[in-house]
Amino acid sequence: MVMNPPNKILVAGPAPDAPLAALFLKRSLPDHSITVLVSPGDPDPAGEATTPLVLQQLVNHIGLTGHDIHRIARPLWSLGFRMDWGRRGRHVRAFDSPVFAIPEGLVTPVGQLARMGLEHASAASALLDAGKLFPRESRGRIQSIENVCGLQLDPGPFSRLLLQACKAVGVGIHHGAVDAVDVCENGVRRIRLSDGGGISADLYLDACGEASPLRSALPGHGWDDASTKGLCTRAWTAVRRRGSEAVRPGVTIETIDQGWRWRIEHLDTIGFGLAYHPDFTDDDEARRLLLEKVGDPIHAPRHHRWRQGHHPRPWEGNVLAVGDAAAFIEPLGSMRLPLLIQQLDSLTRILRERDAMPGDASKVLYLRMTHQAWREVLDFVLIHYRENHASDSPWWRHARGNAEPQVFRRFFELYSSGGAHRLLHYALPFSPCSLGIDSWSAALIGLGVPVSRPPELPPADVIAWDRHVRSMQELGRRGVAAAEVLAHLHQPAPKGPARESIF
Amino acid sequence: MTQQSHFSVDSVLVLGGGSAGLLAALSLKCLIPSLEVRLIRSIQLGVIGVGEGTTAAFPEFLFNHLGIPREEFYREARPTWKQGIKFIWGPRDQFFYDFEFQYDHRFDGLPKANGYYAHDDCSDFSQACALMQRGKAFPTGALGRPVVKGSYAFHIENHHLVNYLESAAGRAGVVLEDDVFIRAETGPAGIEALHFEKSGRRTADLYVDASGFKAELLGKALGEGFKSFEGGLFCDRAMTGGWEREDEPIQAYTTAETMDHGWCWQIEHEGHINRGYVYSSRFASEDEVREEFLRKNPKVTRTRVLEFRSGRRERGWVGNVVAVGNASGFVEPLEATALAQILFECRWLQELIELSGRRPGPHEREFFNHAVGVAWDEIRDFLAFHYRFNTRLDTPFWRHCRDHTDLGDYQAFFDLYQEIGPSPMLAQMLPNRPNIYGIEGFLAMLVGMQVPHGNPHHVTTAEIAALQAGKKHYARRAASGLNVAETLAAIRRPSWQWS
Repeated sequence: MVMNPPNKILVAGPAPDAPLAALFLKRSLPDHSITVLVSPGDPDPAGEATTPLVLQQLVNHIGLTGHDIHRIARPLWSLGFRMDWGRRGRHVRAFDSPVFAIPEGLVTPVGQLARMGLEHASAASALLDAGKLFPRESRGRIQSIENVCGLQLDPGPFSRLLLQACKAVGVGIHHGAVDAVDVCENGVRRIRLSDGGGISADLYLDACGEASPLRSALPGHGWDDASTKGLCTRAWTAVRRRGSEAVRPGVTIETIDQGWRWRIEHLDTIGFGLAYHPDFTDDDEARRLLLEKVGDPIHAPRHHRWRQGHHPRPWEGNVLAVGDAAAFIEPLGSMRLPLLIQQLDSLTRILRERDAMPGDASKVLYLRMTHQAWREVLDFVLIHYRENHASDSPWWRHARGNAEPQVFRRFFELYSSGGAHRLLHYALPFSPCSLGIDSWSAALIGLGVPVSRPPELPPADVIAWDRHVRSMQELGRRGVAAAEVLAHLHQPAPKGPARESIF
Repeated sequence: MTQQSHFSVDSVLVLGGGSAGLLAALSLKCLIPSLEVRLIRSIQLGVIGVGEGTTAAFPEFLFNHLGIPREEFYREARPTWKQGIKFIWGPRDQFFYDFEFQYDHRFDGLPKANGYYAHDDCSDFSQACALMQRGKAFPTGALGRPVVKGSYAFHIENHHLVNYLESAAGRAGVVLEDDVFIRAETGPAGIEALHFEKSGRRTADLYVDASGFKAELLGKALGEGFKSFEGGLFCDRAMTGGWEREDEPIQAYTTAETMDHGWCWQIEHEGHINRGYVYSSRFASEDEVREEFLRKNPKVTRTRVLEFRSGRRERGWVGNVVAVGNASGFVEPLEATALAQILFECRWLQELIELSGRRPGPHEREFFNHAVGVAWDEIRDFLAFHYRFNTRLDTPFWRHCRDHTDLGDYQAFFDLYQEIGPSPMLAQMLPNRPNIYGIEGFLAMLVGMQVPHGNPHHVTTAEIAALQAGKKHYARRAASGLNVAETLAAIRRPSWQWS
């Protein structure tokens, strides 16, 4: 079977996923013809949060400037999570948790010194704990730590940013819905659109979510939801006006007896969500519990049925399922968009290595890379469920009993033995990992996972660490709130060399 | 064997006084000083006693992990340096394997990894490679002194190494004793006691089985199963020999040369050249092997034949017994992995005892057994690549290797190589973690042996210029480098100071 080299690539799906994918591909494969077919969508204004990977990719890979991102997408920063969750009741987990760093002059790594909690282990964690966003320098100026920030995104303006960027870098843009798919020996031959037109490519990316009209037209379509039995399957989301409420520097997560609630910050609004399982809580009750938190929503709450799991064969012929069509996990770790980016990174690295259409071995490689990412993120969520003792309701007893990590089991067991020891590097099941050893260890410390034999700490290190904690508390106390940072954003930029906008 | 849950480790008894036992005792005592560590050398266990080549893991472990002073080690162990291996192997006249990055790397200005540019000429792709090609050991630094840095390894005569390790262990507080091992007494926890001729019944919290091939504790006493590597490694004998160095230059590499019925090593000691012919008794008699060995190495006067069985124990840690070295597993020394494997076993053992607050239990054992097993299997498969793709000779032995060598866990890795060539993306296809050897070794062998793939790169004029610039940088530094003899002389001057 001879297949064309994948010179023409089409990404189909709603915004923001499809334009993000097209943009990423165009920047990775500048000589390829990339087209995005933007299908009608109705993005949830409750929004979503990300890890720092997304902002890093938008700036470093796609080439957007911070100014353009803030001007058009209007995101807010996320230093991490403030969670009513785990065995310690409440904790914060910032994205800059340097668990294995050894502070200068000491012999003990941070993860052992801060084993009772990472609240003041780093600048971001101290700020997050204090409700502040960035540090204030000694002369009062704001010190940006955007490099360790995730984003809190409103999908509407974020989609506008991505579509404008697609246009600017030469991605072809079509708007329309997939009506039917013509199949040939190699996979998909042509997509027929609902307006009567058609579009064809050498390689198709199906970013259409659960409907997955391209991938489902080919053999081997399916869904694997193994190990997700203990996770929530439904959610309600709603949005309310911000009013005079202060912007929080990260995502807020709260355990409730029926599941968990989250809160995402936007400039003028606040997004809320509630995850639950219908076997334990009926839809009306879940809706009531969300509204109890939201108060006065702008629109009627939205109902979501989650299909947690992944596609066992996302790449068939000349079609790849990506994004939610390839894997879906609940938003506990802010990993939905990072997973999409990791899929695209895997694909483009493979495509760059060979001029011809990737063969079977390359597809096996892609499958391996994306499945590993999925397995890791799934285990990450499972560990959060298993170690959440903030409620002892029937739901949480069920969840804890059905949340056994699989590929990270050995890592978890060793951590339970001696805490954040350097040997854990050898217990990682993959290399590289999606989340990485620091995120994993920070999560286990934050959750308060018991360590049966914690090492004794040198007294001098304990004293030095106490000093460090106090200095971080002071840094948090003196930190700059998001409102002040936002006001500063609208001031004229200081003179000097500025990165060129792609627009 | 009952796997007791957790047990306290305050005392350790090491059985066996070869390099494995000594390294285990030394690392445990150095890094957990409050442990009582005793090592018993038992004459009847014997030692193999051939010269040793190491990988770059050895100096890193000794100097950086254990904190052993360099001057002390060089003075007492009298090593020479090894930057890699010269392979007389595959269709090229020769190629070099080193401990740096030749192919999992890209010169500035090249769009593809170096391996895509090395099909015809694989010289000067790393500093170490450029040095070895020119008979040099290290580049020259300020004042014409050698820069003894980077990923280098050692050649060490076994008796020097053992003598040094005994001294270092004694200084660290390990109690060394001579006795004759009689038997082990087993119980629910594993080993209850060891019985010796002189000192009678001896007990400890943890027993380290460093008794070599005999595996007196883990194999014989506890009956732990042996996983054979015969599906991928067919050799089962080594004929050793050597001669006192005459006017041969001391090379900074081990040589691995294809022979009719196997392969031959050459290890470069300062005053001695050590040769050994690894072969399969299924394909040649001892006399046939000796004839070829002596014909190609006329200075060898006396030969000795060692029998071995490639494979590993199913588990390296059972109950209160941990095996290290040949008691844990054995493969032929084609990539000098024996000492590296010992170091990883010692390191993981020490760190697991430390991590568990000196009360290791099932999780620690399970991790150790997984990690050590994966490391052994990785070596097995790495060596299998050497056999499967060596097209140099058309003898029955090599035909059999090409036709029947099983690539084990690395078949999918090779399938991907065939499709995309020597790409760093292959790292994503490494089958198991922890992976301690990475992909560079596999790339070095695949590129070195010119194993065909389906993704050749068409090199542009601009790329040729970038390639030459990258190589020239290494070549120029190597040309002005110092050889082993010059480097030995430099470090023995009173003015030399290790930094």
